[in-house]
Amino acid sequence: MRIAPQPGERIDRRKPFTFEYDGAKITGFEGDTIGSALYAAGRRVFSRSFKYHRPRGLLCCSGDCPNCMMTVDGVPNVRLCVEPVRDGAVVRAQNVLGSLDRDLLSITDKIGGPFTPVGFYYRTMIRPRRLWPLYEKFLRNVAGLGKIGENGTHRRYDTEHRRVDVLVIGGGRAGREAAARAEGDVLLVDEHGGGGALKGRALGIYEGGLVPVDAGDVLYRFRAERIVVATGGIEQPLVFPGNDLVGVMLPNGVRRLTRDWSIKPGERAVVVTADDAGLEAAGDLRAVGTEVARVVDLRSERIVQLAAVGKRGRLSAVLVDGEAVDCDVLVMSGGRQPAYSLLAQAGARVEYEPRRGIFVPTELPENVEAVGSAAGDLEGAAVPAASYDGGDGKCFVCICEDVTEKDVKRALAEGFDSIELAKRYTTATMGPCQGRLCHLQSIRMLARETETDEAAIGTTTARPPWGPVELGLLAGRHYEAMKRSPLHFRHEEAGATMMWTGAWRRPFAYGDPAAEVRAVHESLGVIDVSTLGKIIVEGPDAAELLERLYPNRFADLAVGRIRYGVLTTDGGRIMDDGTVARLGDDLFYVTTTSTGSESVCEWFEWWNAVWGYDAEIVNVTGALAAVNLAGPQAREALGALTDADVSNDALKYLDAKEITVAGVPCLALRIGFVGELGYELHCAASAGEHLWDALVARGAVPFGLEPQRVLRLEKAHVIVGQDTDSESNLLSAGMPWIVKEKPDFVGKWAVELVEERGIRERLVGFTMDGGLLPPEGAQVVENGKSTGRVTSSRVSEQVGKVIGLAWVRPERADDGTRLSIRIAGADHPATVTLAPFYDAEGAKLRS
Amino acid sequence: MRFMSHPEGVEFASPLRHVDGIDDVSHLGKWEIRGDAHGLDGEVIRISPDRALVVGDRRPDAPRVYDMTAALAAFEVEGEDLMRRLTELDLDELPAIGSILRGTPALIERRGGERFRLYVPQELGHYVAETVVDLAKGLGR
Amino acid sequence: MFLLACPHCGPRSVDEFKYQGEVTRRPPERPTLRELTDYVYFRDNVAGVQREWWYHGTGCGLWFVAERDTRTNEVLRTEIPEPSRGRTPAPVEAAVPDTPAV
Ligand code: FES
Ligand SMILES: [Zn+2]
Repeated sequence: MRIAPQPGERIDRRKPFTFEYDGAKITGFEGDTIGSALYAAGRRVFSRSFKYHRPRGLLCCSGDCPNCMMTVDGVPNVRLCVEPVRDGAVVRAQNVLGSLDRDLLSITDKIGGPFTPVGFYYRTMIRPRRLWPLYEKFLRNVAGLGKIGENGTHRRYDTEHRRVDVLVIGGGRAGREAAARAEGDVLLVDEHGGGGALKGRALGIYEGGLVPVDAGDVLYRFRAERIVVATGGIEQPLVFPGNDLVGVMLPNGVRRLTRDWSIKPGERAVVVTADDAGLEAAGDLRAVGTEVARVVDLRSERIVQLAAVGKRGRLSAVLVDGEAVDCDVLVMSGGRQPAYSLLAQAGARVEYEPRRGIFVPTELPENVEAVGSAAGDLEGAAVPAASYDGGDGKCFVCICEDVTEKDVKRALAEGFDSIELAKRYTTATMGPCQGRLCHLQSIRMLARETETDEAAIGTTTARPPWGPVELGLLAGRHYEAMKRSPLHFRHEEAGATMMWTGAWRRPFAYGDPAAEVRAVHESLGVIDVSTLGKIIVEGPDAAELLERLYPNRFADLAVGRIRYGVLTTDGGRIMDDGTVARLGDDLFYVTTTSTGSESVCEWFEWWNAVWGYDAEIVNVTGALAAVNLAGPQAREALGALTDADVSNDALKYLDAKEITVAGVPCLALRIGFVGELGYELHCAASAGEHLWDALVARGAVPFGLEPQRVLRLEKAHVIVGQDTDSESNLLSAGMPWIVKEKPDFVGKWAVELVEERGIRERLVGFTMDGGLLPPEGAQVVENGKSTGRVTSSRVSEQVGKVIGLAWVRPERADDGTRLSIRIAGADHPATVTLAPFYDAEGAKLRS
Repeated sequence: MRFMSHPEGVEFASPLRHVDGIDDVSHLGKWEIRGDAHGLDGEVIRISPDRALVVGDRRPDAPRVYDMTAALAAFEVEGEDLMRRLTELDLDELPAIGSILRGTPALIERRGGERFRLYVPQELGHYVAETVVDLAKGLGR
Repeated sequence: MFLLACPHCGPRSVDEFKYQGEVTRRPPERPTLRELTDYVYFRDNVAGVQREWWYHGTGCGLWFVAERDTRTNEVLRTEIPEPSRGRTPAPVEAAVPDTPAV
């Protein structure tokens, strides 16, 4: 097959490479592609078509069509004609049952008509419903192209950002000239590389001059001031019966086989061409010894009949106006169509030019330029017929999706007469070639059938990607932005079970959560609360700003004191809660929930952008480590580590004070999210471990989130976002006391309107009569109907009961009301409890 | 607000202490200035119209200063190619604060030649540094 | 991923910003239920140029207002809005333009 060495060939015969194809060893040379090496070795069938499983062979040798896709080293849909040979590659056919030459699924080609008519996706295999599992299994087996190995190797993909003044897409003559002309920082990309071009495929042109380029393992994201599109023209196939037979080729396929790889494509050829490309291919064929039996130049010869016939899917003869010519190669050339897709994506208009029968880009956006064939700068070609007939073979408009002329006519008959609808219904242009070889053909056929012209039919919307791309490349590296507390490594060292809470990793528990709960109740526990949002609000207007953001009062908060605060929106929704400590006349220290720190900070800044108060809002969440030391022994332990007076008089419940603990300056906040005497200590993050170690050395037992959730539930403390949702307001969540009389605050009107209209639901505490634990989300039922839901529930050893929070109808919200909660299909009695379950008066907190 | 500052006599636990392969400079003093930052000592990096970061050992003398030494992890890396795999920011327009690794905020400055310094929120420092080391491996380093 | 010009940082990829919706008008005094609902929930959703709030979250942290054509994503203008100087007590503030909602 390989001819004697000839000048200009692109292979280096001294450098052989051997790969494996279906068990056989195949050898090619440097400069070969896997496709050319296989062709040289005698392989003609490269794939089976999508729907009918017809044999397909090399068509374009440019990476434009679907015909040579195989699985290489486990990666499906690799185009062999552009995949360089390499040693040890393992190449397998895909989309076949059996082998490429004998594919059992090709039965669909014979009987396919009734089974796979156009639009069959939408209407076959639907009834009877009960057979769907069977259908599904079958469809999954035959659908799609190629298979991804479940144990496929993980490849590494990277993204690289580049800025250039000028990006030239396409390394043909026009592209290279444009790059040489351009000024500034210029970069040329080309799918095949070479000539100083970056090897990669531009996938699209997005807003802001963004051009992603697929370079295999790296996705380049170019931002270009100016983009020059030089994507060239695409050789167009002709539409006639048998136009998909193995042996039917585009001129470029012949050019590459003969000139680049020194391969003789076949013994006898026929050429049907609308332009010079076909004539050149005829010359190439003769040069390698292929007999050219007949050349039809559509520019001078008018034909009405054209058909290819074959045996077992391989070309054996061509019929031209009644004359049959035996051949094994047919070169078809329907002229070239500018590759305008990228331009259209960028916003260019595309116009039909009837004289040349092509679509050309016009009205380019400011920063985009088109040069060469892509701009429509093409030699004249004859305009071929929408289709030729002359036989009863299948006449393909779209070879990727196996859409025939008949399918298009049928879709039209069913009323899908606009190009966008016909495209979706027939799926023509939706396959791997992305319209390169079928878009123009579909439009032409619709125009002919509807007796309008191509301009009236118009084009479909061009969208990225301009060519297939691996999903892995688009996804890029997997970034898991994990937030670690300053004490993170202490938790790991202690063997804590870690869990995600938002972006944070936090200890669920260090061992037995129940034991950790007990430690807090009976002696001393310590929990890492560094994840709490922390915001400093400072300035002459700080108090006034807070007054307007919170429903309760802060202007009258004494220096050194703390108040609980809830933030609501103007719609009345509860958005976050936390504490506000006044550290000075103009200085407040605000804490938020762990997940709320960023949104609360934004919220403060947003309102202040509107109001313009003289107050700084400083997010210091990450600057500080924070721990909560809690339990009956908390004061004693703290006292042992500080010189400061921490007696109940000097540091009362809801006092805030700066003290030094174990040599670390801390802000001590005497507050309790858990129900025991407790201190929150906030210090510089870099000193967090030192403080933690000192507290643990004093006997504090580290406790995790799960024990904390039990402890807070015993106090019936609400967790915003868990016990509340977007419908919850201050009144329904049982916090009417927090709303103070003042001229304005965010959410004031909503609360007032709720007050007038009454609430529809109410959040209450409950205890189960029995010992069963309802799952969070369990339904509260009345007469078999759901009237509420459980949002939190835990077993509390301390209370000796199963306790929880639930939303119920306001009529059922009085203390002592009996409720029914459905657990696993059965209803179980519970009782509404409005006071906290543990230490209802808060004596422990104050002690 | 002494509690914002790292105390003397206590070891500075850098957020990057468990990452190998980067030059950790987290211990550098970092101060956020609100309002006018003109005429201050040390290296002044403007963050927004009324915010600036001053890097230096001494607390700058300004009315509104917040100690961010512990809040920001800081490290230095080499190579524009590596930086281009981290961020879309224009490396000719530094210092700048913007997105790295698809969504993590960072303040980036050039320390001469191809050396860059990144400041990132302390809580994300370990993750960022670890990822940067891995990206550098992808470039054969 | 169009570019948006932060008034401080200049043009940046839009994914550095948080979009906070159309600029709305907070009622100057206590609204009726209808007015409140309008303000909180209803948006003009124009196909054309609209004024909207943006936050340079993965950047300088500035809140600003942009005028963007929702059909093309072309950003015509960005600005730091003039605050309404909230020092004055609320009721006097007859016209708070440019108020965030929800
Ligand atoms: S022959 Fe390989 S893509 Fe067409
Ligand atoms: Zn900015």
